[in-house]
Amino acid sequence: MHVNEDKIAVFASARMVIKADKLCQQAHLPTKVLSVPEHISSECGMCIFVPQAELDAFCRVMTEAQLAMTLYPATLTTETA
Amino acid sequence: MNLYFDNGSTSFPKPAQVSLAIAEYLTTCGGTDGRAAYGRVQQATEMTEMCRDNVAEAIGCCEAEKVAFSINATTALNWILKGMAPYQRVWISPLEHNAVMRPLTQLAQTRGIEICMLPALSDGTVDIEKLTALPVTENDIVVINHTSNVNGAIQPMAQIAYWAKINQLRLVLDSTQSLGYTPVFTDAWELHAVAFTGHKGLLGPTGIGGFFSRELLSPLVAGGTGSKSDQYDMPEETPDRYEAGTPNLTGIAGLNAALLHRPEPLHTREDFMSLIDEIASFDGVRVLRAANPAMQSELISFTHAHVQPSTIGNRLFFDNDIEVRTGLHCAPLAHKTLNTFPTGTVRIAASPYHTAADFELLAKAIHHACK
Repeated sequence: MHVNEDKIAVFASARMVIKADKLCQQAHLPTKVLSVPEHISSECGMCIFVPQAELDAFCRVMTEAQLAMTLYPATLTTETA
Repeated sequence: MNLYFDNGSTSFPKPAQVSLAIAEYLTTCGGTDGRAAYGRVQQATEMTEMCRDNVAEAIGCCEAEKVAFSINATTALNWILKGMAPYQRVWISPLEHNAVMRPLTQLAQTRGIEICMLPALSDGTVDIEKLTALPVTENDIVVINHTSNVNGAIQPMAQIAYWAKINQLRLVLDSTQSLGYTPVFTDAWELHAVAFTGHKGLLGPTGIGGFFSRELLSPLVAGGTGSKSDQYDMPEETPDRYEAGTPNLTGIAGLNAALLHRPEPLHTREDFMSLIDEIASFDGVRVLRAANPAMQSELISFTHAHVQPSTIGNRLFFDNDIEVRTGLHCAPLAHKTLNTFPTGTVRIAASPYHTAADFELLAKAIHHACK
């Protein structure tokens, strides 16, 4: 069970999600690609679940790669993560 | 023997990995692109983005997110020419294909744009020395067919790009016949937009092409993208803005394999140039080619003083199983420029899979067919 500080990172396109996911894998971050939860958006695409413990490292990797994203609380997605 | 010489229309054969990649996608993956988060979709989306990165590298561009897939170069050119910020005048080379001429003619009829011809030499290549005298304005655009699909002449892009840059003209490149054979330097030439196809020089399957655009184009096609799905407007972000609807994932699988497994040519440049010289030596034959051999691609056309192109094409096929294309090749402007309109020409386009022996057989067959 994750706590409420876990985050969902939403990107502008599926291409950016794929790029971000690859960077996370290279950095050995335990992130996960998920469907975008409805409490964030009625997207039908992808987002990245980021555990709270990895948030700083995740943000650092995204900043270095200049991948813009928006972070949301993952509250309603804990059961899928 | 490889008797297929219509690679200007579409390439054949393809690298073996192309059909394998398509089969693998259809039999083991099968997911769509970017519209969910389960494994098949991730796999398909990763494949799409890898292909996009590889296309960007192939066209010398560092902004892969501005590369969009469409079904072919014609669609891509329509996207570019109809989606750019309004322009009143377009400058074209005299070797443009109908993929450019027909959209521009539509725009002339609907928006009143003016279509102007760049000064050119007798082989249709742009006369660089005369460019500086042209009455261009900053809002004009320039469209260049990098390699002619009629005489195979390669345009002097570095010089044209320099002229376009100093005059602040938006330069659009049609790389349909060049990409895969002749380097394209999108960033170095500061090209404004580039249209490409996957099934010719890149040796991929049909049904997959696309474009790069530095400018955010107005969407020619609107629909679902898997992103910003709560909105009726198309997203501002690229490539989503340009890719409404499910993409041609089998085509992308094949194109990506083609980009990763390009074969080394089985013939030399000298082999092809010798073929041209031999055909040109036949009685009554006129070869349409670049005036400067260094600017010649491995595509040429020819006519005969007394034998019609269609007759030559039929003889080559029925007597020798050799496949070539005859006629206007959807490029009437080029034929008018080269004085082969409306009869057209016989076109020969080689591929990396041709050997010197294939060229020898072709030359003998042409010699026979022209009698």
